[in-house]
Amino acid sequence: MVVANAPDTRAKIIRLFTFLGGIYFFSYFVLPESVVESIGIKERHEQISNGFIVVGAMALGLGLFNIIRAHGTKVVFQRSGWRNSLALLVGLFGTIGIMSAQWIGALQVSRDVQDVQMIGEYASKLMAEKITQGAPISMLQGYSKEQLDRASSLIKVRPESQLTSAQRLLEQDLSRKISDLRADGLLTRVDIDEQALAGFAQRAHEVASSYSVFRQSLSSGTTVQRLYDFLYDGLFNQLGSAMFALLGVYIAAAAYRAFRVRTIESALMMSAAVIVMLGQISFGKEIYEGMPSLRQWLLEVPNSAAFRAIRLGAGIAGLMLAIRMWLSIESKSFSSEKK
Amino acid sequence: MGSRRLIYLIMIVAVAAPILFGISQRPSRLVSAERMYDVIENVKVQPGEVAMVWLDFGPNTIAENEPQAMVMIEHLFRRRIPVILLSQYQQAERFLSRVPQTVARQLEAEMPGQTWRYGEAWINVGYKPGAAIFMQSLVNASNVSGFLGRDVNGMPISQYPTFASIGGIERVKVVGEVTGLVGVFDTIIQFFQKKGYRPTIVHGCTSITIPEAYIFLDSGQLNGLLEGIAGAAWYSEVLKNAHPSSDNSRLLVTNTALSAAHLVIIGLIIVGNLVPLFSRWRARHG
Amino acid sequence: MDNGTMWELSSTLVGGIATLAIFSFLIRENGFYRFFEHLFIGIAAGLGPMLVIRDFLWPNILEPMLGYSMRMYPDGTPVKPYQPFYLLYLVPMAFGSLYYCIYSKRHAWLAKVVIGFTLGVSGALAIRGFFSEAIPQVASSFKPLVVFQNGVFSLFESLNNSLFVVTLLLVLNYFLFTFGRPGAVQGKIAPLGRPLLMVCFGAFFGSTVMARLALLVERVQFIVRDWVAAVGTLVGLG
Repeated sequence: MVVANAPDTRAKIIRLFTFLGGIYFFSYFVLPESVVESIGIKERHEQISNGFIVVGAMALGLGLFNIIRAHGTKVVFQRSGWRNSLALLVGLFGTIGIMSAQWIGALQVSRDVQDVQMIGEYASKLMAEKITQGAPISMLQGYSKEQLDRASSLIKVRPESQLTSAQRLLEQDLSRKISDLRADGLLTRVDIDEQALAGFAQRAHEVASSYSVFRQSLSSGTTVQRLYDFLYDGLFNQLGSAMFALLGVYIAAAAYRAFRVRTIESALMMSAAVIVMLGQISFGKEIYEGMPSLRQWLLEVPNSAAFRAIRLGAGIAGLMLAIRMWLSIESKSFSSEKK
Repeated sequence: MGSRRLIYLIMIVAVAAPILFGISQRPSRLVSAERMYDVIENVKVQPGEVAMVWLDFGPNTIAENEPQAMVMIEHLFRRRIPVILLSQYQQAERFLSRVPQTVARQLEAEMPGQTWRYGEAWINVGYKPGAAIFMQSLVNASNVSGFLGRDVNGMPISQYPTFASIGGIERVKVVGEVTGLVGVFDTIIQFFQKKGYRPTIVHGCTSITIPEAYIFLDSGQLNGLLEGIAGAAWYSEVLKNAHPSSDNSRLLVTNTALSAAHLVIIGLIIVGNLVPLFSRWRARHG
Repeated sequence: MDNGTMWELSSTLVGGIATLAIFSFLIRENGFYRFFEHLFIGIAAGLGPMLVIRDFLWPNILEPMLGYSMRMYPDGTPVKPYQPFYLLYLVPMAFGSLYYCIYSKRHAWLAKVVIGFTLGVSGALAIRGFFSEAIPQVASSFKPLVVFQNGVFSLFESLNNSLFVVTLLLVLNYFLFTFGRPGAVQGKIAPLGRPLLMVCFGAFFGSTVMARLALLVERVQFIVRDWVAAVGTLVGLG
């Protein structure tokens, strides 16, 4: 292939795509809204934006592949540190497994709820189309009976003794609503007026809503959900938090060994640091009553002014970088053979 | 034991003592937290209007961000403002469910007979990848409920009457952002706006980003701020003044332990500066 | 003890052991620490892809594209007709798949096409982001140097505003490296920005210390209160 063997052509292609990547959002921001609307982009903006996110999302396998390759090799060949690599892989696949199981369970609940939701939706549709008798009504009746029976059997899946007090209340509320809907009369009547259909639709929506809340609350007691909670509350959050908490201890050692006041500027810096710390802690006002106000002033006036200057400077530099990046002004690596 | 490990020990003991003995002090008054309280207290929300709270933190900043998220959501729940919870940060997954559930349980225990239920008081729409791309797409959506589509359980948002018909982004009356990540916060500041719509934004930040957050408070791009644990502690005090039955004792003990740790740090800085001076003086004078 | 409490208890117990394992690093690096460190990385690595699939790829792309989200009324008519334009998502999916060319020496350049594309998107968004952030910042920097409150001259506010504006200008001037002649006023006053910057850095430094200590407090609180109580329950003291 000619293109594939010509580094300059490749670089041009890469530059072209870099430019094309930015042109959509740039145009969307600079073009007047009326123009964006008239060419139909506004209507499809959500889907187009999703398309851009998809491009990035496709990279998700890169990290997984690398990590499995690096640590899998260690485990298979029992190289130094293979037990740690095994722990990593167990953590990785355990997480994927537990999250998948939890997700599939949630999707099943979602499908069940949507089936019940359909009773109200179908009733609303018939109402909108002013259909109050005939085959569609008997279809609504048949479907409603089937779904309400199913819902009733699913909510009894756990014995009442295993429900929390909040769940018991939800169940009572839901059972009452289902009974009300069954007793509506619409489920057996042949001739139905519009008002009755509207009432039925409204009650059916309420049943679906309560059913959704109750089914979701039941999910919190499943083994999969407990494993999922354990993964986060017992391992991930604890480990992550502890890892970063080490910094709190190190900063104490650094306070003793490294924070030396040697010049006027370092004295200024240390004074500002001490005021900020004392002004925020509860002991600060015991030392000097005006400490919180002094801290507030320091943050609002000199700090904000200096920080704004830094931020504006960095922002302008970032803007220049963004333009250069978008227009591929600095992109020697695109034409480099080594990369 | 080397001096380094002795310092570690002193620090851990200083932090543990107030926690073990349950010592708590009234926190320092923080004006920025009061501003945020006023914003949430005074916002007028009509049916179909909501608050959108981004919990963009993980275990690495849980210490500061979780108490902030708790007090922010507690106040929104007390005011019965429906809350949409979501995140730009993957590691926030658990907090999106845990924080509102805990707050709801606390409030239900405090006020028997009242309930805060999922789907009515709040919904969790989970992690949203795409950062700025997602954000500008969200603010331009004509129907936020439809745009968000489903909650984290795969349930259509149309299922929840409170959130089913939000309409345009203008119906989001308050935006809460709890994070320690500057880039994530910037995404909200830069992209959560459009022509004719500038939301009321309140922010819970970690201490490390306080100096930066102040510039947005000054410019009006932020309407209220919770500064680290101290901000959450003061906010809980203000909430307690309005609702005396609320319990903020644990947060006050945390804040006191943090204060003790600061005194140790300031002490170490002073000793660290005096010791070399003393050594030099001794060397000079035999 | 009911099932839920058992799970919570084991969660706290394991969490405490994990925390102590990480804290053991303070004594010296050891196998116990490394084991839990790797476990953490493994869990973190598993979370990302799962969340992208669960919260984005499935509901926003795959489900509508494959027609799984299509629902039928009891009479067999669809609630919403299938939208074939969702198939267009195959284009960005195929384009995004070029990332994997990085594993082929011959085709690695194709990965750069998609990387360049992503950089282009970021660049354009950053341009817009800068202006929406910076304009209110610049506007609010024009503070009145003489402030009257309720018709009365406020010395404090006037001094504050003056100090704000002077600090802003001096620090901005300190970072002007690209123009200005040696010996010019701009160069001479540049050092004045340094002490003001130091005050800002001091505030930043003080805040950093606070953030780090907060993390430690949270962990110690967990161990001292929750974990010790859980151990007590386990051995029958609770």
